[in-house]
Amino acid sequence: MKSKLITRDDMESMTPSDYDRRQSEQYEVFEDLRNRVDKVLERFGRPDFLPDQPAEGDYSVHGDYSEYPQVVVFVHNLALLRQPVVSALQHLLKELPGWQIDLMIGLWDHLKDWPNMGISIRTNEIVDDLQRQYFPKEFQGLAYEGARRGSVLD
Amino acid sequence: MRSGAPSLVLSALRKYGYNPEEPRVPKGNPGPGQWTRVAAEDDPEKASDAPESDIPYQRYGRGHHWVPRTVFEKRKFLKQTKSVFENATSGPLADRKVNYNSEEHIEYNKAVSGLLDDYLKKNKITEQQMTPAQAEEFVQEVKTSNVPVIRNFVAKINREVLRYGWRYGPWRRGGGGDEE
Repeated sequence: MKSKLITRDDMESMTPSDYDRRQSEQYEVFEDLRNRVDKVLERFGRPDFLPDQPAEGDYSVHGDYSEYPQVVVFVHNLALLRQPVVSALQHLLKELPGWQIDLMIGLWDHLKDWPNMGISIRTNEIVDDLQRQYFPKEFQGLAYEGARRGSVLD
Repeated sequence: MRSGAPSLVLSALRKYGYNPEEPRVPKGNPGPGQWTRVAAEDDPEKASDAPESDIPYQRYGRGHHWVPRTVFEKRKFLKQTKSVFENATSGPLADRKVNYNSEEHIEYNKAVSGLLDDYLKKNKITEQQMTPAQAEEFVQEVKTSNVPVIRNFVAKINREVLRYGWRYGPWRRGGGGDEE
């Protein structure tokens, strides 16, 4: 699937009908990508709020669309930050230049005492905003090929 | 149209204003003295209080689902009932990042899920038996909830809706710029 990405910078130069049509297409991309992110993560963990299971799972894929080419995932299990998971998610973006998947960290036991952090997965790079000093030792060595430091929600 | 709006909106915004008593990371933890994530989201220097001119136009931005999709999508509600939850959104937000704050939204999701379970028990119905009318009633229950986690997040979302409305006007779908 090819992305027909529009950004807010494009809006000034677009006719209203172009904007409507292309924004509808972008929304469809969001819905499709969100579902595919969920499918990938189901291979590695359990989503929140499954029927007949404890509410607290390993992740939840955020469902709100803000016209920004982005799918956000709330991650409660640091194992979902490992390279195979990140690579599988990045593969989804292969034909979606300009889109990003943001993994926002929110461990159930550390919702109050850890700062906001996460990684942003993009077609050709990982933006790393993790503060590994908070992590258990086994996760402090997490590293990503092609990563740079930056803010997740840029 | 805009002349009286700022003072009115500012008055409304004060309800959701900055709290100087916000918590900071305690000594003995990494980054002592930094604001915790809860406080950081109210940082007046951060994006939620970015200049009005930086607020992006979003004709199709639906904002926040009052009943988060992750809470109802995998449950056994009727299609029509899910449709009520699906369509119950705040509308565009001035700062989308407020809606992506992980700690607050995670807690909100869990609290709304609990509230939904309570609603089903209180009304002695199963998920499949919940009607669209009951779903609408439940959405109102969320929006007016006194559960602190829900109430505080709803207030923050409403604040961003107001800020968006101040910039683009709440009287048009998604804010309509200069069009009529």
